Amino acid sequence: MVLDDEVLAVLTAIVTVASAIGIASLIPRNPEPFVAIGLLSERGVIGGYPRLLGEPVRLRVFVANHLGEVAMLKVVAKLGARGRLPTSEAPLDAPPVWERAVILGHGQNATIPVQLVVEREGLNVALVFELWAYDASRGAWVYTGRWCHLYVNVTRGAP
Amino acid sequence: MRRLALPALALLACAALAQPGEERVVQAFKLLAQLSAEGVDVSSQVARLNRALELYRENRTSEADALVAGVVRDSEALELQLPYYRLARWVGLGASVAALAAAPPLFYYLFPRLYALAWAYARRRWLVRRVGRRGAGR
Repeated sequence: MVLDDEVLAVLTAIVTVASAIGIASLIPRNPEPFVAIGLLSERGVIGGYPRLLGEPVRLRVFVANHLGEVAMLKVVAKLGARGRLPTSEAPLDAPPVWERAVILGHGQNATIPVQLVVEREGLNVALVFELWAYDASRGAWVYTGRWCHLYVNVTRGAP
Repeated sequence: MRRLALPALALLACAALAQPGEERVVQAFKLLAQLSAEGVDVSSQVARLNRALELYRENRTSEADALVAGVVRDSEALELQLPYYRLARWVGLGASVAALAAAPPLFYYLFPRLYALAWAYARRRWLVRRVGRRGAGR
């Protein structure tokens, strides 16, 4: 079989396209960075959350880092209520009741066990978990705008 | 609707509210953040710092301090090598891009020649026999 010009042109075009794709995949890109937080039950799954608390509440908080570099994240638990929750711009104006810092590389995640004791009774108490990140350039913790919450009723007799 | 007595509610954390040893870890993290932004693999240092945070929570301060100090020492050593790492990264990237960019013209130039060589090699035992002049035998 003789290699004619048309066949050679088609083969060269295929090699050119493959080369362009290879170069495009090599050039460093800056994908949209994000962090994530999620609330899991004590068993580490979605669902099966406690609703009625008469004892220490045990949960797990999932955090993930996709910022493109290592990140120091902090989960901060606060007390809220219906209509009193954080937003994507501002954290809840309440004192933290629990916090846990973790350092994650790009693409890494962690599931952090949480154990809280509610002292007094109440209805529809929002357990709010905010995600903060340490900004090394500013030297301060910055609210990421990511948060999750769980409504619970706290019964009398909680320890 | 029953009014919630939220102000009366209080939560007590089982763990301490302030993360112990956080300031020391933050100092080490700043170094790691700089290295990580340059693409240096700092997974080992990250694991050790997380372990240090656990140790601080368990009030094993001296062990945690030693871990953090080790991370800082390693990170500072990596920081010294950062210019070489950066240069090697860009040289490697440039060489890869150049090799890929050179592939199409090299293919266009070399492939017909290699194909012709292979074609001839595959027929190296063929004999060419003259069967007579054109028009002979008429």
